[in-house]
Amino acid sequence: MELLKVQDLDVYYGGIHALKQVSFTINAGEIVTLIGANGAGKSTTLRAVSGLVPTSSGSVEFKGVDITNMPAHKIAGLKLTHVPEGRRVFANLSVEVNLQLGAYLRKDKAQVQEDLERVYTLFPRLAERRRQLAGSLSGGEQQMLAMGRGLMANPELMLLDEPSMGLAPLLVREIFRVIEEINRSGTTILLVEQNAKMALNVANRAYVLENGAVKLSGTAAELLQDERVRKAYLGG
Amino acid sequence: MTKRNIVVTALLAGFYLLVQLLAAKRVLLPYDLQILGLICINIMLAVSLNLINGFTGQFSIGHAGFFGIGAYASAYLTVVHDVPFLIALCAGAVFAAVIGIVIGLPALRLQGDYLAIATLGFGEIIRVVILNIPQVGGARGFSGISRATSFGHTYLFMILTVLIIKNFISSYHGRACIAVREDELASETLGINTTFYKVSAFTLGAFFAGLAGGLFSHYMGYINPAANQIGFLKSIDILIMVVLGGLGSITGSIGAAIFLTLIPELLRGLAEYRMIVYPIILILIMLFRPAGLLGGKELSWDALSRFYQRFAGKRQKQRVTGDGSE
Repeated sequence: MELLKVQDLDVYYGGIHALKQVSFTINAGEIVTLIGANGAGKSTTLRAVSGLVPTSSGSVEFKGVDITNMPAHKIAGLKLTHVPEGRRVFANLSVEVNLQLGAYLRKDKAQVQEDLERVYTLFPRLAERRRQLAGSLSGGEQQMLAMGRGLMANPELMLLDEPSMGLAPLLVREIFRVIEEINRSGTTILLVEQNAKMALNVANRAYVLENGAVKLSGTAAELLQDERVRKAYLGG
Repeated sequence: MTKRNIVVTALLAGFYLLVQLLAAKRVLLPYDLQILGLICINIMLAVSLNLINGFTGQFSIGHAGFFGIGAYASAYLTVVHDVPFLIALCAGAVFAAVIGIVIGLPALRLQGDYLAIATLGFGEIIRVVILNIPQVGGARGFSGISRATSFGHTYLFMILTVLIIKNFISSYHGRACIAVREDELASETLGINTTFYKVSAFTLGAFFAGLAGGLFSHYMGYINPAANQIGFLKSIDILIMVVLGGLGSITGSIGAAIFLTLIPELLRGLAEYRMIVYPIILILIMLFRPAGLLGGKELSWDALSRFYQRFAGKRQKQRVTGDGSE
């Protein structure tokens, strides 16, 4: 079943044509990754899907509903959660309040409490630091918090923007382990990564972006074998 | 009602009775009483601006404009239309809130410095518009306002303002405002309607500033459209209270409003030099407490008792080590 369908999306930043006719689909239950160099348009694609940047043409459909240019906070209400690049945790609030704010739109209090425990099991370090201010956490812990906060919205589709950026190799592996675990429990994931190798290893399918346009697509296994991909993104 | 609420209510009522008693015994002169009233009005202004600047993170420096709207609108109603004082007071506050929405919707699309300049501009527009309405006295000022505000009014409305804003901040909606302050984009991705909360906080702040204005014009019996009354100098005064007390601290704003209203009076003995001493005090506070007197923290019974316990504990420890060395 198609959960997200993006068709011929165009985005301009002032005079810059950032996305050119980008199309892709995500099926329920998948992990799909967008890979590409800096400035290829990966983050812009996520922002266009979640309503953070206006699109000039094309369409985005989520669960069969047209969400093109809908305000971001309304899109979030459809259980499409964007975990933005650079963590963006609420630095002056405690870990627990950060997580509670993730469930801002939810009215099912008992279920929210259960999900809070689930996030703490997924990230035991956050449980240890639940009363600490988010700004005092390390980079890796902040990334966990950002993802945990996104999970608290109980999303059907989670957009993850560069979750491994600036993290030590051990933590990167930890983050990817959690991404797979989140996916196993039923959340579909659209992952943007510079670490193409790790991303292709967890993903079902992938799209390669170059200069704002989709250059290649296929299953992750195919792309891992593809000569062009190996040369450009996997270091030979 | 919890035990703590009863104690706080008793203290607040006790303070009011004490002031009334001292006023009746002529220990507190009308002049002192007037300063106490001004303190209450300034607390309302500082706490309501803190809601916008400190809790929602939208740097506004046009707060005196809303104060002016409330002051003039309510005075116009009581003087020209003989509207009862309390109704005029509320009408003035509502009018200020409506203007708050009208200004907030376009201005709050801006951020940081740009928002500050825009609100400064809007504040001045309000002042100049009032200056050019002959029905409210124009540049001569608006005189002949009945002095209907008593100290009791300012005291009661100050308590109501603090209570309502404090409850708002600790509510579900208040938390959303704080999230907007912390990170607008992240708030939006969590489903928080950031525009709605920015405009709401701005409007609520404008409402209480308008209320303070109505109290003020009926306290003094006269108001004029000078910069230090309803213009940018007054806005800066309020801003200083908020920043000095600590952005995001209600008790800080209250403390700073009391301190900054009293200090020019206390320094009166220094005659002309007080306007040198006063800024020096401000500079020193900012040097040693850059986040404001209380930072983002609140002064509460719990914090006080923790502080006391730590202090007492330290002394006990000192005594123990002192015994050991003998």
